[in-house]
Amino acid sequence: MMSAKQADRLATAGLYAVAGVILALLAGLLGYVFVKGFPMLSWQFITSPPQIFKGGGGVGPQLFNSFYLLVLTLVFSLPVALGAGIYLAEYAKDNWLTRSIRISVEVLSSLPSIVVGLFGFLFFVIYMGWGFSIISGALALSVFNLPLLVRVVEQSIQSVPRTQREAGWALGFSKWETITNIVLPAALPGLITGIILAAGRVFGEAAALIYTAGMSTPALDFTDWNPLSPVSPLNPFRPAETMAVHIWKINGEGIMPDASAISDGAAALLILSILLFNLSARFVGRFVFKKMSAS
Amino acid sequence: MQTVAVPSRVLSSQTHVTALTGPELTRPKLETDRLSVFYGDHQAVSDVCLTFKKNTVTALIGPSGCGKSTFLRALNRMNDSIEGCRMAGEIRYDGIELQSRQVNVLEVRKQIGMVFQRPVPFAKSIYKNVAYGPIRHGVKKKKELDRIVEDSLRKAALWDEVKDFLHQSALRLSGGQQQRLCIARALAMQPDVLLLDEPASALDPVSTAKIEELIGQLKKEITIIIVTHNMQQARRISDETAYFYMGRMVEHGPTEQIFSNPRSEQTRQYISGQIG
Amino acid sequence: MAKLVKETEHPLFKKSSKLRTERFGKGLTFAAVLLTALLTAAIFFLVISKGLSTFFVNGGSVKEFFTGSTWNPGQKHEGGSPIIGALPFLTGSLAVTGLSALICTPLAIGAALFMSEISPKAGRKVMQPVIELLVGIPSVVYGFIGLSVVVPLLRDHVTGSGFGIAAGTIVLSVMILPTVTSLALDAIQAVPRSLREASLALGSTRWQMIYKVILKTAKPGLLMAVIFGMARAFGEALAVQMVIGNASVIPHSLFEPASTLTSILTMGMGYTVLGTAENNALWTLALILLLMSLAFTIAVRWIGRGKPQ
Repeated sequence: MMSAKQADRLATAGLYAVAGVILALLAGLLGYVFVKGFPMLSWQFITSPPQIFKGGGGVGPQLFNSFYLLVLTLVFSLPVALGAGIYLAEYAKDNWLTRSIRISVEVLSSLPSIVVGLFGFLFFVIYMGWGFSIISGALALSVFNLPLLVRVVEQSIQSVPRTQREAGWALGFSKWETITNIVLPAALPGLITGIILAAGRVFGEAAALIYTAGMSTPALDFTDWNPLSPVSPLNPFRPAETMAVHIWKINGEGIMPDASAISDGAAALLILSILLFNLSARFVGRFVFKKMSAS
Repeated sequence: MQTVAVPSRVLSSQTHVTALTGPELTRPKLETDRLSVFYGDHQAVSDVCLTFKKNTVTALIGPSGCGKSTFLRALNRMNDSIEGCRMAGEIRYDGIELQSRQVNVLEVRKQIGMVFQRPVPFAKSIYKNVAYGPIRHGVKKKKELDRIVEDSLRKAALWDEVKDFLHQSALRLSGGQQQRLCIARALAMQPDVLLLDEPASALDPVSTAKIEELIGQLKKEITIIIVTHNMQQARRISDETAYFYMGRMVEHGPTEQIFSNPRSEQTRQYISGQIG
Repeated sequence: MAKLVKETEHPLFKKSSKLRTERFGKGLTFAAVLLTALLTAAIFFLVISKGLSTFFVNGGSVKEFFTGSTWNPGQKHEGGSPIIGALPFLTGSLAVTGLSALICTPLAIGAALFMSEISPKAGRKVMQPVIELLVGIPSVVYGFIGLSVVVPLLRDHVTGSGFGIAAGTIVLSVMILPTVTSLALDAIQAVPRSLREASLALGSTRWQMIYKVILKTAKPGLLMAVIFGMARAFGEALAVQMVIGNASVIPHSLFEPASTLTSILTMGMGYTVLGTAENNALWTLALILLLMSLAFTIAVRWIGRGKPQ
């Protein structure tokens, strides 16, 4: 039989070991991706289009698609999420309607992304007739992103003390005016941090996209910025494969000789972008707060 | 919040004409008639009848939880925003029933300003903090705004301390300065009545003294109602005092009389420190 | 002199446009919240109606779906009903989910305890950022690393092709570990200080305090964290699909190719035509995914029902 003291020491050592394992895991993951991927990263790699049968291709269009889809997704989901978050935080009374709405948002947020993707496939791609396109992909990603953003908005609004609202009401502001002029600006730093983190999640999402934005990218002319032109990168009705989808696809069916090296490079690029999102989430929020309170 | 019993004299007020003559000046600026406030089933304020004269400072005193703050917050209908809060009785401002349906609650809060226990500056610059109210209520000209900001800050005795960095964050001011900024912000709306909810309880003695001095200045122009825990403060700054206990108003009268010779035994015990 | 003022001219009766914008704003935000709720309803409606058509339109057997082990919805039985034995995928999904929860739970709770009880400083400064970063790594990257590290490792050092439930489990447990850890940390940190101090004051060692007080008090929260992780594992598509081997047979070992609901769905949806029995059968798999995620959500709510939000 072990004494209590011995058990304590043993457990402590065990917990240290667990923490060590996790740190090692991350170091391993990052190390692996970066060690193998960094040598791939070159200007040529991140700007040129992929090759199908031979090596030396890049991920230029995929990188562009990832950002373009992200921007459109935010354009679609942010206004709705702002509205819904404001309503839930400020107006919703505690009744059956609010409760059922809350549950439905929670259920939406827990749906597997592949299910959201299939819904997008059925609704946007088939019923609306938009085919595998950026618009279908962005809308599917919006559905995927919406519940998370709603929670971000609701929580950052709720973190603004009630006294700020009362101070607004005491000046004769209406509730809406107080929300838009006082509460939202005060919530902005938290809001921005949350939005950027959500954006990181959207950026790396693939399952919701393979049947909505598609798994291919047509030849693009990066000098043609007319959104209606079929070769324009901005055309919302063209299919668009993102970085994440590209990694998945070339590992499944890529026939170029350097598929694994391309994946290494793309994975490194993806994680690098996510790192940037995480870092900027911290700094932009703080910066905005400083900027805002002094104007 | 539902409004209870709209009195008939207000409903007929469309045609009602009042003469602003001699007696009009002595008419109370603000009065309550059997005002009760309920939170759900709990009655926080019971049947309070009080009058507040123009250019006077009235102190509301009483132990914690006696309903004085709730009463104060009823006066500008701040309680409207609390779910499950209900009022009965009347509040009359210039003789107008404030809970009447025709009354615009936003205008009520413009006319009856409020400053809270803790300073609540907005996360904006000092200038914006003061100018924001007027801007949102339609003042557009920069010159006019500058004038209002300077005026209000002067009245709040803050101008000299902040005039050189009006465009810096208000959050960088000290607690006492922030509270005076909040007073300036309320004054920028040019209210007739100012409600102060323990405005100095979170401040150091020097800041407290400044705020008290300020109240003495302000009463020349407006009516002030202040909730305070500090008996000396009530005595120093108020003209009239009302003592609250368990949601009821026990005694109301000139401050000197309340403190030197209260009619009620309860009031005497509270003032002498026997009731917490 | 007597100045006559109509009472209605008193500023208090002023009508302001603010009240109109107030109604507008409230209406607009309500529309947004309604849209969000309607989206959920629309997804449920579409997936349920498509998923059920296997049984109602194509005449598939519910019993066969849950117990049959042959999946070939393009072909028909003699009676005309499609061959839809989904047991291999159901087993595959449940196996990877259950096993990865089994691996992940002790690690996650251990890490959370380390961050909260053993070394809060290292926890905050080192572990927290590490975990936040891990949460953000896209699942495809986990799948890709699984494919290029875990699968060859299993192939060379254990047995078989490397693809299979074992590879899927490893990838998923690493993938859900950060999420479960940070939720477990929340649960542990919610245990009141006073309980810890009371226990220590009674002469408990730190481990006794952790074991008897913290883990006991935080149990519902920890359970929620694990279920949340399982929901993610169950619904993950690509990372699993890349390493599991995608063979639609009931696996007899952890190291043989198998498949999950999500992997079959991912593979098949592009190769079937909408409206055919083959395609409808895939939607039935999606329906199972939907219902399982609903069940996980209900479980989390049910466990957390006593806790204030």
